[in-house]
Amino acid sequence: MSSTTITAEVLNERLRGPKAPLPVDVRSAPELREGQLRGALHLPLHELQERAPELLPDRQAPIVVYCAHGIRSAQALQLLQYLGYEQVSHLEGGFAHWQLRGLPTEVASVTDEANYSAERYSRQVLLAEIGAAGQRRLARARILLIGVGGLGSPAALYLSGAGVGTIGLIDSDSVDLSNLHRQVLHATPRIGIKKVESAQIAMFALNPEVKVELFAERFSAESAGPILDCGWDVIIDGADNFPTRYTLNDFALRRKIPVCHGSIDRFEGRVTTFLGDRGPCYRCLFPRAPRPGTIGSCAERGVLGVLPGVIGTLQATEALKLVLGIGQPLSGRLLTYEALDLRFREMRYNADPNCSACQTRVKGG
Amino acid sequence: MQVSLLFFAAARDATGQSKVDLDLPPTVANVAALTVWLGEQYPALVPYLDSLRIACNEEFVDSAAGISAGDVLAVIPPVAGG
Repeated sequence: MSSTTITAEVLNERLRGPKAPLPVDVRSAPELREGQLRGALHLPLHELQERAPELLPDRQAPIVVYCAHGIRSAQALQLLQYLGYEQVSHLEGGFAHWQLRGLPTEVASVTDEANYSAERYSRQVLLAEIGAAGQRRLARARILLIGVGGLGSPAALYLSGAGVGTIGLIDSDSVDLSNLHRQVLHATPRIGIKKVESAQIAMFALNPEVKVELFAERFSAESAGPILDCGWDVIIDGADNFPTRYTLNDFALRRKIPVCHGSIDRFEGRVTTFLGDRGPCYRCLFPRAPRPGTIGSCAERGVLGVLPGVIGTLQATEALKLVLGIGQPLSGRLLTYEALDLRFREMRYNADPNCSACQTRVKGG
Repeated sequence: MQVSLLFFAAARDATGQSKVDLDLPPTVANVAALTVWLGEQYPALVPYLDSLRIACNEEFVDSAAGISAGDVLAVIPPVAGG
Protein backbone atom coordinates (compact mmCIF):
# COMPACT_ATOMS: atom_id res chain seq x y z
CA MET A 1 0.00 0.00 0.00
CA SER A 2 1.31 3.47 -0.80
CA SER A 3 2.04 6.04 1.89
CA THR A 4 -1.03 7.10 3.82
CA THR A 5 0.12 10.72 4.17
CA ILE A 6 -0.28 13.13 1.29
CA THR A 7 1.04 16.67 0.97
CA ALA A 8 -1.15 19.58 -0.09
CA GLU A 9 0.68 19.95 -3.43
CA VAL A 10 0.35 16.27 -4.34
CA LEU A 11 -3.29 16.19 -3.32
CA ASN A 12 -4.01 19.27 -5.42
CA GLU A 13 -2.57 17.47 -8.48
CA ARG A 14 -4.47 14.28 -7.76
CA LEU A 15 -7.76 16.13 -7.34
CA ARG A 16 -7.41 17.36 -10.94
CA GLY A 17 -6.51 13.97 -12.39
CA PRO A 18 -8.38 10.72 -13.04
CA LYS A 19 -9.46 8.62 -10.04
CA ALA A 20 -9.41 11.70 -7.87
CA PRO A 21 -9.95 10.89 -4.18
CA LEU A 22 -12.98 12.26 -2.35
CA PRO A 23 -11.91 14.84 0.26
CA VAL A 24 -13.57 14.15 3.63
CA ASP A 25 -13.45 17.03 6.09
CA VAL A 26 -13.44 15.68 9.67
CA ARG A 27 -13.42 19.07 11.40
CA SER A 28 -16.33 20.20 13.53
CA ALA A 29 -18.98 22.49 12.05
CA PRO A 30 -17.71 25.78 13.54
CA GLU A 31 -14.29 25.25 11.98
CA LEU A 32 -15.75 25.35 8.49
CA ARG A 33 -16.08 29.11 8.66
CA GLU A 34 -12.68 29.39 6.96
CA GLY A 35 -13.95 27.33 4.05
CA GLN A 36 -13.21 23.80 2.90
CA LEU A 37 -11.63 21.88 0.03
CA ARG A 38 -13.71 21.93 -3.14
CA GLY A 39 -16.29 19.20 -3.23
CA ALA A 40 -15.42 18.00 0.26
CA LEU A 41 -17.80 15.85 2.25
CA HIS A 42 -18.20 17.17 5.79
CA LEU A 43 -18.15 14.31 8.28
CA PRO A 44 -16.90 15.35 11.74
CA LEU A 45 -14.56 12.91 13.47
CA HIS A 46 -16.99 12.15 16.28
CA GLU A 47 -19.65 11.10 13.74
CA LEU A 48 -17.30 9.18 11.47
CA GLN A 49 -17.77 5.69 12.83
CA GLU A 50 -21.55 5.94 12.87
CA ARG A 51 -22.13 7.68 9.54
CA ALA A 52 -19.30 6.46 7.29
CA PRO A 53 -21.13 3.32 6.08
CA GLU A 54 -24.09 5.45 4.95
CA LEU A 55 -22.16 8.38 3.43
CA LEU A 56 -19.17 6.44 2.07
CA PRO A 57 -20.69 3.20 0.83
CA ASP A 58 -17.81 2.22 -1.51
CA ARG A 59 -14.90 0.94 0.57
CA GLN A 60 -12.67 0.58 -2.49
CA ALA A 61 -13.01 4.23 -3.56
CA PRO A 62 -10.05 6.53 -2.80
CA ILE A 63 -10.63 8.90 0.12
CA VAL A 64 -8.48 11.65 1.57
CA VAL A 65 -9.36 12.82 5.07
CA TYR A 66 -8.28 16.18 6.43
CA CYS A 67 -8.74 18.34 9.52
CA ALA A 68 -7.22 21.61 10.70
CA HIS A 69 -3.62 20.50 11.28
CA GLY A 70 -3.41 16.79 10.47
CA ILE A 71 -3.86 15.37 13.95
CA ARG A 72 -7.52 14.37 13.96
CA SER A 73 -7.23 13.22 10.34
CA ALA A 74 -4.58 10.71 11.45
CA GLN A 75 -7.16 9.30 13.87
CA ALA A 76 -9.81 9.33 11.14
CA LEU A 77 -7.45 7.46 8.85
CA GLN A 78 -6.92 4.71 11.42
CA LEU A 79 -10.64 4.48 12.05
CA LEU A 80 -11.53 4.22 8.35
CA GLN A 81 -8.87 1.57 7.80
CA TYR A 82 -10.30 -0.32 10.74
CA LEU A 83 -13.76 -0.04 9.16
CA GLY A 84 -12.40 -1.67 5.99
CA TYR A 85 -11.74 1.30 3.71
CA GLU A 86 -8.88 0.31 1.45
CA GLN A 87 -7.60 3.52 -0.14
CA VAL A 88 -7.47 6.15 2.58
CA SER A 89 -4.84 8.83 2.97
CA HIS A 90 -4.74 11.97 5.10
CA LEU A 91 -3.60 15.48 4.32
CA GLU A 92 -0.32 16.45 5.97
CA GLY A 93 -0.62 19.71 7.91
CA GLY A 94 -4.37 19.76 7.29
CA PHE A 95 -6.42 22.68 6.01
CA ALA A 96 -3.84 25.08 7.49
CA HIS A 97 -1.15 23.85 5.06
CA TRP A 98 -3.62 23.86 2.20
CA GLN A 99 -4.54 27.49 2.88
CA LEU A 100 -0.92 28.57 3.39
CA ARG A 101 -0.12 27.34 -0.10
CA GLY A 102 -3.02 29.32 -1.55
CA LEU A 103 -4.72 26.21 -2.94
CA PRO A 104 -8.39 26.41 -3.99
CA THR A 105 -11.12 26.34 -1.36
CA GLU A 106 -14.84 26.91 -1.35
CA VAL A 107 -17.30 28.35 1.12
CA ALA A 108 -18.78 25.61 3.25
CA SER A 109 -22.55 25.38 3.42
CA VAL A 110 -22.98 24.04 6.95
CA THR A 111 -22.22 26.54 9.68
CA ASP A 112 -24.88 26.56 12.29
CA GLU A 113 -22.19 27.79 14.61
CA ALA A 114 -24.30 29.71 17.11
CA ASN A 115 -26.69 26.82 17.79
CA TYR A 116 -23.84 24.34 17.96
CA SER A 117 -21.99 26.25 20.68
CA ALA A 118 -25.15 27.18 22.54
CA GLU A 119 -26.09 23.53 22.91
CA ARG A 120 -22.58 22.50 24.00
CA TYR A 121 -22.39 25.00 26.85
CA SER A 122 -26.11 25.13 27.68
CA ARG A 123 -25.80 23.49 31.10
CA GLN A 124 -23.24 25.93 32.43
CA VAL A 125 -24.75 28.99 30.72
CA LEU A 126 -27.85 28.13 32.79
CA LEU A 127 -25.86 29.08 35.90
CA ALA A 128 -26.69 32.70 36.68
CA GLU A 129 -23.09 33.24 37.84
CA ILE A 130 -21.87 32.36 34.32
CA GLY A 131 -24.61 33.04 31.77
CA ALA A 132 -23.94 34.04 28.17
CA ALA A 133 -21.59 36.84 29.22
CA GLY A 134 -19.48 34.44 31.29
CA GLN A 135 -19.34 31.99 28.41
CA ARG A 136 -18.02 34.76 26.15
CA ARG A 137 -15.36 35.54 28.77
CA LEU A 138 -14.32 31.90 28.77
CA ALA A 139 -14.17 31.90 24.96
CA ARG A 140 -11.82 34.89 25.03
CA ALA A 141 -9.67 33.49 27.86
CA ARG A 142 -6.13 32.15 27.53
CA ILE A 143 -5.01 29.62 30.16
CA LEU A 144 -1.53 28.11 30.25
CA LEU A 145 -0.78 24.66 31.70
CA ILE A 146 2.73 24.04 33.01
CA GLY A 147 3.02 20.28 32.64
CA VAL A 148 0.58 17.92 30.96
CA GLY A 149 1.03 15.06 33.41
CA GLY A 150 -1.04 14.01 36.39
CA LEU A 151 -2.32 17.46 37.35
CA GLY A 152 -2.50 18.78 33.79
CA SER A 153 -4.62 15.82 32.63
CA PRO A 154 -7.93 16.67 34.33
CA ALA A 155 -7.25 20.40 34.04
CA ALA A 156 -6.78 20.21 30.26
CA LEU A 157 -9.96 18.19 29.80
CA TYR A 158 -12.23 20.26 32.02
CA LEU A 159 -10.95 23.57 30.66
CA SER A 160 -11.53 22.27 27.12
CA GLY A 161 -14.99 21.10 28.02
CA ALA A 162 -15.81 24.45 29.60
CA GLY A 163 -15.01 26.26 26.36
CA VAL A 164 -11.86 28.13 27.36
CA GLY A 165 -10.87 29.79 24.08
CA THR A 166 -7.14 29.09 24.08
CA ILE A 167 -5.24 26.59 26.20
CA GLY A 168 -1.44 26.55 26.14
CA LEU A 169 0.43 23.36 26.98
CA ILE A 170 4.07 23.17 28.06
CA ASP A 171 5.76 19.78 28.44
CA SER A 172 8.93 18.37 26.95
CA ASP A 173 8.19 14.74 27.83
CA SER A 174 6.71 11.93 25.76
CA VAL A 175 3.94 9.60 26.91
CA ASP A 176 5.32 6.65 28.88
CA LEU A 177 3.52 3.48 29.94
CA SER A 178 4.22 4.29 33.61
CA ASN A 179 2.35 7.60 33.26
CA LEU A 180 -1.01 6.16 32.31
CA HIS A 181 -2.35 5.10 35.72
CA ARG A 182 -2.70 8.79 36.57
CA GLN A 183 -2.22 10.82 33.37
CA VAL A 184 -5.58 9.89 31.92
CA LEU A 185 -5.47 12.56 29.23
CA HIS A 186 -3.09 10.30 27.33
CA ALA A 187 -3.76 6.84 25.97
CA THR A 188 -2.00 3.53 25.42
CA PRO A 189 -1.85 3.89 21.60
CA ARG A 190 -0.07 7.24 22.05
CA ILE A 191 2.88 5.93 24.09
CA GLY A 192 6.07 7.49 22.71
CA ILE A 193 4.55 10.63 21.19
CA LYS A 194 4.98 14.08 22.75
CA LYS A 195 2.63 14.68 25.66
CA VAL A 196 1.52 18.03 24.28
CA GLU A 197 0.47 16.37 21.00
CA SER A 198 -1.25 13.51 22.79
CA ALA A 199 -3.06 16.05 24.97
CA GLN A 200 -4.21 18.01 21.93
CA ILE A 201 -5.79 14.88 20.42
CA ALA A 202 -7.81 14.23 23.59
CA MET A 203 -8.80 17.88 23.97
CA PHE A 204 -9.99 18.17 20.34
CA ALA A 205 -11.94 14.94 20.69
CA LEU A 206 -13.79 16.46 23.65
CA ASN A 207 -14.16 19.94 22.18
CA PRO A 208 -12.95 20.82 18.68
CA GLU A 209 -13.74 24.50 19.32
CA VAL A 210 -10.82 24.98 21.70
CA LYS A 211 -7.58 26.43 20.35
CA VAL A 212 -4.48 24.68 21.67
CA GLU A 213 -0.99 26.19 21.63
CA LEU A 214 1.84 23.70 22.08
CA PHE A 215 5.24 24.26 23.67
CA ALA A 216 7.10 20.94 23.54
CA GLU A 217 9.94 22.29 25.62
CA ARG A 218 11.14 22.50 29.21
CA PHE A 219 9.93 25.48 31.21
CA SER A 220 13.14 27.15 32.38
CA ALA A 221 14.56 30.59 33.12
CA GLU A 222 15.50 30.76 29.41
CA SER A 223 12.13 29.75 27.95
CA ALA A 224 9.89 31.31 30.64
CA GLY A 225 9.95 34.92 29.41
CA PRO A 226 8.93 34.39 25.78
CA ILE A 227 6.25 31.83 26.74
CA LEU A 228 4.71 33.92 29.54
CA ASP A 229 4.65 37.01 27.31
CA CYS A 230 1.97 35.37 25.12
CA GLY A 231 -0.85 37.10 27.01
CA TRP A 232 -2.07 34.44 29.46
CA ASP A 233 -4.92 35.22 31.86
CA VAL A 234 -4.21 32.38 34.30
CA ILE A 235 -1.50 29.72 34.68
CA ILE A 236 -2.03 26.23 36.11
CA ASP A 237 1.10 24.92 37.80
CA GLY A 238 1.27 21.17 37.34
CA ALA A 239 5.06 20.97 37.27
CA ASP A 240 6.89 18.00 38.78
CA ASN A 241 9.94 19.68 40.32
CA PHE A 242 10.92 22.56 42.61
CA PRO A 243 13.13 24.61 40.22
CA THR A 244 10.27 24.91 37.71
CA ARG A 245 7.84 25.98 40.42
CA TYR A 246 10.14 28.73 41.76
CA THR A 247 10.99 29.93 38.24
CA LEU A 248 7.30 30.09 37.35
CA ASN A 249 6.51 32.00 40.53
CA ASP A 250 9.12 34.67 39.83
CA PHE A 251 8.31 35.14 36.13
CA ALA A 252 4.52 35.10 36.64
CA LEU A 253 4.76 37.65 39.49
CA ARG A 254 6.65 40.10 37.28
CA ARG A 255 3.79 39.88 34.77
CA LYS A 256 1.09 39.77 37.48
CA ILE A 257 -0.38 36.56 36.08
CA PRO A 258 -2.29 34.47 38.65
CA VAL A 259 -1.04 30.92 39.24
CA CYS A 260 -3.26 28.07 40.42
CA HIS A 261 -0.84 25.82 42.26
CA GLY A 262 -1.22 22.08 42.79
CA SER A 263 1.27 19.53 44.05
CA ILE A 264 1.06 15.86 44.95
CA ASP A 265 3.02 13.31 46.95
CA ARG A 266 2.03 9.65 47.46
CA PHE A 267 -1.49 9.95 49.00
CA GLU A 268 -1.48 13.69 49.64
CA GLY A 269 -2.16 16.78 47.57
CA ARG A 270 -2.21 20.52 47.96
CA VAL A 271 -3.89 23.41 46.19
CA THR A 272 -3.55 27.16 46.53
CA THR A 273 -3.81 30.25 44.35
CA PHE A 274 -1.28 33.05 43.92
CA LEU A 275 -3.10 36.07 42.54
CA GLY A 276 -0.11 37.74 40.93
CA ASP A 277 -1.00 41.36 41.58
CA ARG A 278 -1.66 40.97 45.34
CA GLY A 279 -1.50 38.48 48.19
CA PRO A 280 1.23 35.99 49.06
CA CYS A 281 3.28 34.04 46.53
CA TYR A 282 4.91 30.60 46.42
CA ARG A 283 8.09 31.91 48.09
CA CYS A 284 6.00 33.34 50.97
CA LEU A 285 4.62 29.83 51.51
CA PHE A 286 7.90 27.92 51.08
CA PRO A 287 10.81 30.41 51.11
CA ARG A 288 13.48 27.72 50.88
CA ALA A 289 13.49 24.90 48.36
CA PRO A 290 14.60 21.59 49.83
CA ARG A 291 18.15 20.60 49.03
CA PRO A 292 18.24 18.58 45.80
CA GLY A 293 17.64 14.91 46.46
CA THR A 294 15.90 15.30 49.83
CA ILE A 295 12.32 15.23 48.54
CA GLY A 296 11.67 12.78 45.75
CA SER A 297 9.36 12.88 42.73
CA CYS A 298 6.36 10.70 41.88
CA ALA A 299 8.81 8.38 40.09
CA GLU A 300 10.81 7.97 43.29
CA ARG A 301 8.10 8.10 45.97
CA GLY A 302 5.09 6.74 44.11
CA VAL A 303 1.63 8.29 43.79
CA LEU A 304 -1.96 7.08 43.94
CA GLY A 305 -3.29 7.40 40.38
CA VAL A 306 -6.55 9.15 41.23
CA LEU A 307 -4.86 11.71 43.52
CA PRO A 308 -3.83 14.19 40.78
CA GLY A 309 -7.36 13.80 39.39
CA VAL A 310 -8.70 15.40 42.58
CA ILE A 311 -6.03 18.10 42.80
CA GLY A 312 -5.88 19.01 39.09
CA THR A 313 -9.67 19.31 39.01
CA LEU A 314 -9.56 21.76 41.93
CA GLN A 315 -6.90 23.80 40.10
CA ALA A 316 -9.09 23.95 36.99
CA THR A 317 -12.01 25.09 39.16
CA GLU A 318 -9.88 27.90 40.57
CA ALA A 319 -8.74 28.95 37.09
CA LEU A 320 -12.32 29.10 35.79
CA LYS A 321 -13.40 31.18 38.81
CA LEU A 322 -10.58 33.65 38.17
CA VAL A 323 -11.48 34.02 34.48
CA LEU A 324 -15.16 34.45 35.30
CA GLY A 325 -14.50 36.72 38.28
CA ILE A 326 -16.80 34.69 40.55
CA GLY A 327 -16.48 33.26 44.06
CA GLN A 328 -13.57 33.50 46.46
CA PRO A 329 -10.14 32.54 45.16
CA LEU A 330 -7.97 30.23 47.28
CA SER A 331 -5.46 33.02 47.92
CA GLY A 332 -3.58 32.96 51.23
CA ARG A 333 -5.07 29.56 51.97
CA LEU A 334 -3.37 26.20 51.45
CA LEU A 335 -5.87 23.40 50.97
CA THR A 336 -4.45 19.99 51.83
CA TYR A 337 -6.04 16.69 50.89
CA GLU A 338 -5.07 13.47 52.67
CA ALA A 339 -6.54 10.60 50.69
CA LEU A 340 -5.81 7.89 53.27
CA ASP A 341 -7.83 9.68 55.95
CA LEU A 342 -10.09 11.40 53.39
CA ARG A 343 -9.55 14.72 55.07
CA PHE A 344 -9.37 18.22 53.63
CA ARG A 345 -7.74 20.92 55.74
CA GLU A 346 -7.24 24.59 55.06
CA MET A 347 -4.32 26.55 56.49
CA ARG A 348 -3.94 30.30 56.17
CA TYR A 349 -0.70 32.01 55.23
CA ASN A 350 0.29 35.62 54.77
CA ALA A 351 2.58 37.52 52.45
CA ASP A 352 6.11 37.51 53.87
CA PRO A 353 7.24 41.14 54.29
CA ASN A 354 10.79 39.97 53.52
CA CYS A 355 9.85 37.85 50.50
CA SER A 356 12.54 38.10 47.83
CA ALA A 357 9.97 37.69 45.04
CA CYS A 358 6.64 39.40 45.68
CA GLN A 359 7.75 42.26 47.91
CA THR A 360 9.66 43.78 45.01
CA ARG A 361 6.70 43.79 42.62
CA VAL A 362 5.46 47.18 41.56
CA LYS A 363 2.55 48.20 43.78
CA GLY A 364 -0.76 49.18 42.27
CA GLY A 365 -1.25 48.95 38.51
CA MET B 1 3.13 21.47 77.64
CA GLN B 2 0.50 19.34 75.95
CA VAL B 3 0.26 19.84 72.15
CA SER B 4 -0.76 17.87 69.04
CA LEU B 5 1.59 17.40 66.11
CA LEU B 6 0.35 16.67 62.57
CA PHE B 7 2.84 15.30 60.06
CA PHE B 8 2.42 15.81 56.32
CA ALA B 9 4.02 14.20 53.26
CA ALA B 10 7.70 13.30 53.84
CA ALA B 11 7.33 14.21 57.54
CA ARG B 12 4.57 11.63 57.85
CA ASP B 13 6.87 9.00 56.34
CA ALA B 14 9.88 10.09 58.42
CA THR B 15 7.97 9.85 61.71
CA GLY B 16 5.76 6.92 60.74
CA GLN B 17 2.61 8.71 61.94
CA SER B 18 0.16 11.37 60.82
CA LYS B 19 -0.75 12.68 64.30
CA VAL B 20 0.64 12.47 67.81
CA ASP B 21 -0.41 14.10 71.10
CA LEU B 22 2.55 14.72 73.38
CA ASP B 23 4.03 16.73 76.21
CA LEU B 24 6.65 19.21 74.92
CA PRO B 25 9.50 20.09 77.31
CA PRO B 26 9.16 23.64 78.71
CA THR B 27 12.30 24.75 76.80
CA VAL B 28 10.44 24.26 73.49
CA ALA B 29 8.54 27.51 73.68
CA ASN B 30 8.68 28.72 70.07
CA VAL B 31 8.74 27.38 66.52
CA ALA B 32 12.53 27.66 66.13
CA ALA B 33 13.01 25.52 69.25
CA LEU B 34 10.33 23.09 68.06
CA THR B 35 12.18 22.59 64.77
CA VAL B 36 15.42 21.73 66.61
CA TRP B 37 13.54 19.43 68.99
CA LEU B 38 11.85 17.63 66.07
CA GLY B 39 15.27 16.85 64.57
CA GLU B 40 16.40 15.35 67.90
CA GLN B 41 13.25 13.28 68.37
CA TYR B 42 12.99 12.15 64.74
CA PRO B 43 16.43 11.99 63.09
CA ALA B 44 14.76 10.98 59.78
CA LEU B 45 13.25 14.50 59.69
CA VAL B 46 16.63 16.24 59.65
CA PRO B 47 16.94 16.49 55.82
CA TYR B 48 13.61 18.35 55.70
CA LEU B 49 14.13 20.77 58.57
CA ASP B 50 15.49 23.70 56.55
CA SER B 51 12.61 23.71 54.04
CA LEU B 52 9.54 22.63 56.05
CA ARG B 53 7.01 25.06 57.50
CA ILE B 54 5.00 24.91 60.71
CA ALA B 55 1.35 25.86 60.88
CA CYS B 56 -0.08 26.55 64.34
CA ASN B 57 -3.84 26.08 64.67
CA GLU B 58 -4.25 26.16 60.88
CA GLU B 59 -2.15 29.26 60.28
CA PHE B 60 1.43 29.26 58.97
CA VAL B 61 3.78 30.87 61.49
CA ASP B 62 7.40 32.00 61.40
CA SER B 63 10.23 30.71 63.56
CA ALA B 64 9.78 33.33 66.29
CA ALA B 65 6.13 32.42 66.94
CA GLY B 66 5.41 31.15 70.44
CA ILE B 67 3.79 27.83 71.32
CA SER B 68 1.04 27.44 73.90
CA ALA B 69 -0.56 24.45 75.56
CA GLY B 70 -3.32 22.96 73.41
CA ASP B 71 -1.83 24.12 70.10
CA VAL B 72 -2.20 21.92 67.03
CA LEU B 73 1.12 22.15 65.18
CA ALA B 74 1.29 20.94 61.58
CA VAL B 75 4.69 19.97 60.18
CA ILE B 76 4.56 20.64 56.43
CA PRO B 77 7.46 19.96 54.06
CA PRO B 78 7.06 21.29 50.50
CA VAL B 79 6.15 18.75 47.81
CA ALA B 80 6.67 19.21 44.08
CA GLY B 81 5.06 16.21 42.39
CA GLY B 82 2.69 16.84 39.51
